[in-house]
Amino acid sequence: MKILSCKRAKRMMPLYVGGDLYLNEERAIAGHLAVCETCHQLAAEFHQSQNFLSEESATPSFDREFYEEIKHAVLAEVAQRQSNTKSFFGARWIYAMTIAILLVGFAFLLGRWREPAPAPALTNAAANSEPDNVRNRESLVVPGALPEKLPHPRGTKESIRRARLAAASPKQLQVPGKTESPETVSLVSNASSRGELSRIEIQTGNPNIKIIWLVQDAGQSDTRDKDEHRNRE
Amino acid sequence: MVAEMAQIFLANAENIPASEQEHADYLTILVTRARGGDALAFERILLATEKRVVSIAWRMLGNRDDARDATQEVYLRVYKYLGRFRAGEDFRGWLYRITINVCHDIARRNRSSATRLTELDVAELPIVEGSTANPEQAVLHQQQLAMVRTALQMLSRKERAALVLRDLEGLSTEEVARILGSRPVTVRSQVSSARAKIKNYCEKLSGRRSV
Repeated sequence: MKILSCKRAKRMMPLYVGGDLYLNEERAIAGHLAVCETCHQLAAEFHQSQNFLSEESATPSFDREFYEEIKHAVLAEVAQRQSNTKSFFGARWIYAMTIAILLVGFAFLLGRWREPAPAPALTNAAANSEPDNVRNRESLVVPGALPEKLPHPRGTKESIRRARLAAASPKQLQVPGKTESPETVSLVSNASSRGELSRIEIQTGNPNIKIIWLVQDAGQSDTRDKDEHRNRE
Repeated sequence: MVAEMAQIFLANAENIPASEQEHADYLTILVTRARGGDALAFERILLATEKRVVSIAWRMLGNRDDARDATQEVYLRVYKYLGRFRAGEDFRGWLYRITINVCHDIARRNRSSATRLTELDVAELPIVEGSTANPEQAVLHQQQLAMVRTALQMLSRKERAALVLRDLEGLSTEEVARILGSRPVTVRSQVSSARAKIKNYCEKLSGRRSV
């Protein structure tokens, strides 16, 4: 068995008195104490200190009222916490509702902000300067179908002349956004109610193709104007 | 068998099992019921463990009022965090860990106003009537006990916790390490240091008085 030095024995003494050494270490210490009076005295002092510690720290005999006071205080607090958790309108519920309302409002504002800009107004500046009766006559004409005879204008020569000029440069209503093959509708103008030509211009999807109808009353000679090379913008 | 015993014990709060294993099983059943919201089971847990908790708190803090406050706080935390207690875990170890933490919090809070026994206080301690024929011996004995109490309060919180659980509560080094969240080697080192400090402190005071 290895002989311990006093230095090492003193270092291990606190664990020896509490029974915390391994078996071989404990045997080594015991063997050293048997031959070393100084270390033996040291061990006795440690034992006495431990005895004092155990005696002083013995569980005090508190009275029953002490434990009852603890029990009542704890159970009262537990009951109060249970009643608070059962409250429907507790603080947590209010906070949750507030946060939910804020989130819904934020989502609503975000949706409004992201809405696309409204489509721009249809460009038809010439139509704005036309008399109301002419504007009212604008209509989408199905290609190939004969238009109905339009109502007579006011009947003055000046109005007729204006209508003819308008027919010569039919107004185009272009659907915004369709730049590749715009569908255009030409104004239908009726020169007069006394046998003049009714001119109808229909612009197809092909900008180089334009259909012009000329309709005249009975008794008038038929004339047809074919212009297939007009460029429309 | 254990369930039948639990039913009997639940019916009578005073009838707490004496053996360690039966006590552990009893607590396990109570904890399971308390986690389900059984208030009576929680009360039974309190009655079955309060003496031990009071003992640890008193030894850690050194006075009755702090021990009472600490015990109340311990069971309120047990109630609050009972849902986090994992099934199969040692409930008593978990309870002791909460007790140690609460005592640390209270000690930290009272640090500035803590009353500690000084050498003069030791000399003014009242003489306790006992079977000792020699009054001087009785006074000396009381003073030695007071010195130990002071020395215990002079330790660091980790050393004090390790010493209280190991030497005064009788737990093993492994159990103390599990409760304190450290390794057994660390606990051995802390206990060794605490014992040496207490012995040296008492020796120093005894040496001064003898001079």
